[in-house]
Amino acid sequence: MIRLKGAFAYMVAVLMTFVALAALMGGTFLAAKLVNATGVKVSPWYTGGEVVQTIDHGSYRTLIHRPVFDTLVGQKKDGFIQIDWEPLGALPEKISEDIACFGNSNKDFHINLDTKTNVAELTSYNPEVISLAGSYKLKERMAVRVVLCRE
Amino acid sequence: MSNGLMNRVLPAPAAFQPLKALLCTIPMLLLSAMMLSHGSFPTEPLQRIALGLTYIFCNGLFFLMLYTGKVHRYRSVFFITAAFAFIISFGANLLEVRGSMVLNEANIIDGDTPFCHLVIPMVIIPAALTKTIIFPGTLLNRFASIAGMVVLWLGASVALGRGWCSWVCFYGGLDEGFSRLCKKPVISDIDTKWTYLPWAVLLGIVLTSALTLSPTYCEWLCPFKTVTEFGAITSFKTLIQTVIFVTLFLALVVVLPIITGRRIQCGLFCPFAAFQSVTNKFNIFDIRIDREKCVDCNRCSKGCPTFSLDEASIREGKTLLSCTKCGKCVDICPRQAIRFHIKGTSVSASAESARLLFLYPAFIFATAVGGGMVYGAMVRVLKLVTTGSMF
Repeated sequence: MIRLKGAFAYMVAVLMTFVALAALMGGTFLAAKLVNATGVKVSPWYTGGEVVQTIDHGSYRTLIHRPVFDTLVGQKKDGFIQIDWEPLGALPEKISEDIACFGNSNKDFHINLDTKTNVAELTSYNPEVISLAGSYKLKERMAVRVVLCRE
Repeated sequence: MSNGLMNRVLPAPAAFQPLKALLCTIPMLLLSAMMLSHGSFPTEPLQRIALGLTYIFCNGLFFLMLYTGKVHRYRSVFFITAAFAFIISFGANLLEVRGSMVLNEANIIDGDTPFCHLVIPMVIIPAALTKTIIFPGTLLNRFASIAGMVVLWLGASVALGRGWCSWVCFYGGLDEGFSRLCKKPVISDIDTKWTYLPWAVLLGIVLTSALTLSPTYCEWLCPFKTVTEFGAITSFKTLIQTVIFVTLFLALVVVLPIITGRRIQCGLFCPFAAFQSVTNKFNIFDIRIDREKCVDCNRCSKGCPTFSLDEASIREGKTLLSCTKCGKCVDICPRQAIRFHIKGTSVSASAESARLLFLYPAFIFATAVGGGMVYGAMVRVLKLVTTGSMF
């Protein structure tokens, strides 16, 4: 029994070299499998969350993300919404747009964005729309984040 | 036991004859060629030179480990070189890809932050409950993607347990390097209660990260932000964060390792290290002490860089859960009583076999991760020397 246990232990020890090779050489494949199997995504607090509406302006598009209020369990009062404009190369110098962000047709705020200087202005039509968190020049798009607070 | 016998240093326990060491190095020569080249030989002469030098460096050290039986001595050279090379190659990579080592909000939204293993304990609870990863990186197909690093970590944890911390971690070589600067430590007596601190930090960051849905260790406590990427100082909060990062780096990675001769960040602060200790429970390799040979000189416990041996554990013939399998105790034991061991086999079983079977997976990971960094840094340095620019 002791010999058998010892032989098994040596087999497992040898196997560790193959585990190392599998992790390194099959890393890309295994990583994709891991993501598919678990269904995980990067937190919406970083990505802005899923895009729920796309408005086509011909040469460019407006992407409206879902409002993010996520917590570990449930939702919190304070959050934000992210609006993107893409593609970066086709954006007009000035963007002026009304945005409805709570899933109905009511306009909740108006954004003026200077795509050259990356300066944005917010006009709120809804008391739950608080302020502009920031405007960002990203790799392939421009984005603004607007602070929300649900009553 | 007479002092003379106790102090007599016996030859290294598992030193190989030159031919045997060479034969056992051959598999590593093939595997490291694959790991370093990723299957294609570079076309640029500078890259070829860097690849060749890295290849010789890695395999030379592996051969010396086998030939001399001194694992820690040559692992340490590799580990320290890889950590400093990491700073060069990572920084240069960020400058090339992102244009700056400063992390701004646009980088965060773009998912441009490379994922590092220190984040893993913090993402587990939110991933389980919300199916989201609370880190501004990219899941797949990018440099240091989240899933890629998790797979690497899972593989290394299965194969090496907390051996990760002395063979794979690209930060550990920094405090190991500084801990070796001073021949004789100024402070040698450190209360073992401090070894609970990493567990407390781990608990704190896991809970706060879950509650805030953000990696709080990265935001507030990571000393390595000082030498990798750091947030732009745009507010009082970011100023405080930067002060904390620099202070912790100087204290835990530079000053305290120098004056204690120990890896203070890894042994007494790093929450990932505490988390990784658990993987030693199921890993097949460990370090054992042959009680029949041990003379209780305590050289091993005094020399252990991560406080993984104490009198009680020596009496039991085992290291503590936090052992990183660095091999220092094996190297410095004057009675050859400490050895690499495969769980389930007798302590008196062949130390040579156990050491060799551990060294293969350990050095495969070390070459793939650390060797890649040495190669990357060497390319940058050669470019800088020959063209005046790293890019």
